[in-house]
Amino acid sequence: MKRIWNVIALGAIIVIGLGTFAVNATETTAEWVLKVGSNPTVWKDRTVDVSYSMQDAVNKQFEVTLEESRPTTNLSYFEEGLRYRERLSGDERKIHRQMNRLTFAQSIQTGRGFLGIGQRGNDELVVFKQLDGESISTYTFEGKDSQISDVITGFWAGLFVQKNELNLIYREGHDGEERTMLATFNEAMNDVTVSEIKMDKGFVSHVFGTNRFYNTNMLMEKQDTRFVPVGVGGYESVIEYGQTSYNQTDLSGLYAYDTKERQVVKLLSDKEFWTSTIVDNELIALTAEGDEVVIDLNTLKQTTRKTLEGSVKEAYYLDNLLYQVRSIKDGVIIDVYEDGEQISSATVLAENDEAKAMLNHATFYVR
Amino acid sequence: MIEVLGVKKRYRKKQVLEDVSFTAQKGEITCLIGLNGTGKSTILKGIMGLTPFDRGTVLVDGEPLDLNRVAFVPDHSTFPIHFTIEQCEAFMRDFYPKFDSKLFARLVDEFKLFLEDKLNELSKGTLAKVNLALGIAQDPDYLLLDEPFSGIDVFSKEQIVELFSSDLMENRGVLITTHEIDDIEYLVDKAVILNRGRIVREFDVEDVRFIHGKSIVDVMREEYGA
Amino acid sequence: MNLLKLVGWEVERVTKPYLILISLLVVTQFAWLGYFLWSETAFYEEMRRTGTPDYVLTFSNYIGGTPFILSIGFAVTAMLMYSFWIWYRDFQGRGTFMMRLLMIPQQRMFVFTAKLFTMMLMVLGLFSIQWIVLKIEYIAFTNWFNSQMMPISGSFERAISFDGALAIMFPASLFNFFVHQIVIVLVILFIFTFVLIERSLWQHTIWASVFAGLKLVGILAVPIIGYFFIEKRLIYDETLLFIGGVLVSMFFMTVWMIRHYLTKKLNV
Repeated sequence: MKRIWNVIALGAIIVIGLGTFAVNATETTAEWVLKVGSNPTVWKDRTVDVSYSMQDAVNKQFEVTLEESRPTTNLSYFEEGLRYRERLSGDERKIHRQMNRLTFAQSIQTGRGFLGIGQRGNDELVVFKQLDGESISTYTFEGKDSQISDVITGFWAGLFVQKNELNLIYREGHDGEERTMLATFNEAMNDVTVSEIKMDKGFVSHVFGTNRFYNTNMLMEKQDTRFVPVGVGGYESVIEYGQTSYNQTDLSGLYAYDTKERQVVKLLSDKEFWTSTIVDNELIALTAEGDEVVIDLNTLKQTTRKTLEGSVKEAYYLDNLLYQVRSIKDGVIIDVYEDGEQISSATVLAENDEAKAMLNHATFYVR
Repeated sequence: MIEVLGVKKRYRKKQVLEDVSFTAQKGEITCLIGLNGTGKSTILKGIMGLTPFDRGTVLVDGEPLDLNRVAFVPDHSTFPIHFTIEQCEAFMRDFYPKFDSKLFARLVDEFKLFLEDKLNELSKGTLAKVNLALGIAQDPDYLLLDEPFSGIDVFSKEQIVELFSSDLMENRGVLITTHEIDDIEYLVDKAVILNRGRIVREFDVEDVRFIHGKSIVDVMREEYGA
Repeated sequence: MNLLKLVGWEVERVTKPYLILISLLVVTQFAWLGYFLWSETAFYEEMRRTGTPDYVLTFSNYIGGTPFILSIGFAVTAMLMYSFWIWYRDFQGRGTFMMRLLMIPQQRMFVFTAKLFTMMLMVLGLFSIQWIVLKIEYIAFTNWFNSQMMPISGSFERAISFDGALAIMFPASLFNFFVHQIVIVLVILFIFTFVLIERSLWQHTIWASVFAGLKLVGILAVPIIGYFFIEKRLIYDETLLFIGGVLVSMFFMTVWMIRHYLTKKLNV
């Protein structure tokens, strides 16, 4: 009997210690609620990501939908797996599986489906596509070919489709000696043509609508247009203690690659743009003053409309809709605009004290 | 009875036991005899499952081994050396439902043991008596003893031999291995002689003594050609 | 009840070294805390004399210190070594206690279960004591620096989540904590399996250890090599499922092997 006391004593220590830990781990979670003020169809299948970040505390994130509010940080392995499974479905799983095997994978979504590119080490360049509901096809290009090798070692900016051909913009060189290149894969995927895109200044840093890694559900659908919106970057050289170093920066303004003249053109330079999106064959960009500039990507015809009053700091596009987030007591109000007109409004409110304590350092993002 | 049927055992390249079969009856003392390395201890440990046989079966009254009914007393202690005799008893009490504390106390008294003594403080003879006391106090139907007289003094030997002819051994089957045949010759009912891992002779000791006028040692000499 | 008694015997035999281990762990950590508080205060004072000190302390600075990390490492090593010793100790000498354990009328698997239970009690005990000690250390840390009016930042939870070892030991999710304990159990089971295979073949001297090791490496190699082949084909949730499946099958495999060697093969 005396011996069992040792076991009991040890058991008591375990209960006290791990009990304290368990209580800590099951603290009350912040709760949020999404309430739609008008036009609820806009909010169907939409999720608001609430992110809380503070220097003195652990970062926390939540997903808020019309049905529920749930944390997405500090999840168990089981919950993480389930959540991952929910976010990927059907064809998206096949694309993710394809991209899984490749490094530096990128993809775009067109009206017919997905196209993407990646590489296996430095040995192979792989193009994959899943169009018209068919299964994924992959096309491999050997790295032994010097052209392909240059593509593999280049820094990829992004993809677009032109006349059923997949195009990749990438750059070679560094530290002020960059060249922007274009690799065009023919429709049969058995040949690739590489040419240089002449730039007045800088290089193409990204192509709008290209997704890296596995965010297939964030893709905007790309149309076959003459002008392909791109971002342009450049390097600033800094001399410090006799050493020159280069910092990459994005140049302000809106740019596009002209597929006909095969050069990068500046669409607008006199304005500061906060965010932008592509809808069908139009580029819609929001200026810092709250104006929307709409540019036809085939003709470059522009129109401007006043859309937002007040701060654009928490405004962003999701597909063709513009979302603006404004703080209110105990939460935020999210206004939704389409074609310059407000079409809906909703509030995200903190339901309990834990959520209210986060408000000052929380951001809200609709997806 | 204990039935050992067709057992075989190999250690590395050496076949230690080859097709060994014999029985040990309840109420009798059966002695396994042989030179060093003929497999006597291996048989006892194999019966207890401590050194599993490669082949063969062991049955106790027609059933597989029941550790409540069979006790093994090896020639050394099976408790950590820093244990006291009292701790050894406490362990046995905890796990052997049939362990008879009164019987153990009686034997402690008879053997003049002190419960607070640690095993590593005891002489070889005293240790042997402790082992035997723990084994008998289990109140087993069968008692297996491996060299109980090995290296102990003559007085301890006498005490142990006395036990064999006492009421404590009534209705128990005893299977014993020993080199000290002379000490228990007149107590042994059956002898099994082993040579090179095989049984060469199995006989009723009293019959051989009265009919042929031979002792166990005489029979051993015949078998070993000494 | 018999199992509990056997656990009681096992725990009794390890009580003294276990208490020494806990004392070492606690003394090391508090000694380091004392030194840390003193040295940081002295350094801050010196900086204050020469100008405006411009740094902020966090609890992470303390738990990232070498003595703290070493104390945890030492405890982990002690548990790993005891996982071997809890068996080998009973095979010592000619009069092996293992002989006695294998002769008790209860099932032989009780011997294994009691030893596993004892190991888990010790491991969980260390986890508990470490958690309690961490809380006390944090209170001492904040109270001291607040009293010295030195700037500190970061919560207790943040410091734990940012520390590699502690984030694994004390994950934010309880479910993950249980999963990590299962992995610890698996490690212990592998060690137990090694010992029992080796002890079943001890007559083969050093080759027994080699053979036992190879057998276990072979078992481990199957899922690891398999994973290398299929890793690129698996999406994250499938990877989790794969790992879960491997853990479960490893668990059953090792328990089966332990049962096989303990009940049929062990030589004493």
